[in-house]
Amino acid sequence: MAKKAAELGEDAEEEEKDDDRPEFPLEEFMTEFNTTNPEVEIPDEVKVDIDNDYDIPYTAPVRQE
Amino acid sequence: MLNIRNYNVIKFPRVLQSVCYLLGYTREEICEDSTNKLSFKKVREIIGDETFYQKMAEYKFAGPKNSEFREYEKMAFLKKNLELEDDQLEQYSQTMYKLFQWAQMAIELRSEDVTSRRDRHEELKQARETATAQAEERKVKLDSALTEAQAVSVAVFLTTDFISVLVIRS
Repeated sequence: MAKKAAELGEDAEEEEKDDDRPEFPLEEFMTEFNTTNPEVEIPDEVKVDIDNDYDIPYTAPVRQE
Repeated sequence: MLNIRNYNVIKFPRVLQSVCYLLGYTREEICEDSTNKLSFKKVREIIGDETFYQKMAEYKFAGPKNSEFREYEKMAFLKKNLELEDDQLEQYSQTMYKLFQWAQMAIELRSEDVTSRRDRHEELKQARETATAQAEERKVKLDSALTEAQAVSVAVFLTTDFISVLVIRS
């Protein structure tokens, strides 16, 4: 019992210590992060046109990097 | 066009056949029964009717086409069907040559329209793929930066706490 009480006492102390910790400034962190890494806007998915009359093979243009 | 109607036999029948298919006439409407051979008798009636010219004027080369098309109405067949000696055709009949040019132009414009829309689609698809990859990269970077910042914050707190304990004890 005494051991348990001692343990509980230690836990309580630990908890007290944790409570002393300052809250992480998430908002500030996010503001700074967003400034250097702006959010990426993903364009909407593009609809594929249906051209049932067109059966000539199509080759996509070569992508210019 | 009216002088063509007076012909008994027609050369280069594939020109009229292609034009008619482009305008939506069926094989049954323009060919001999159960064949692919142009029936000039049937086509003579068609080109004598105002609907034929109306269809030519209203032919739309641009935009998606969702309805069903038979193989002979599709561009690959029509393009091949128009592979002929255009010099000879021009000598044979100016009217037929104009019809040939109209059909060729219709196919060319249709091809340009479809190709440019597909190019644009590819471009937008690639832009989306790039943006998705960049967003994913940013998310990984955020997770890592957040974990690091939180760890630093805890370390600073513990160090400060430890120093203050040492100061009190001393």
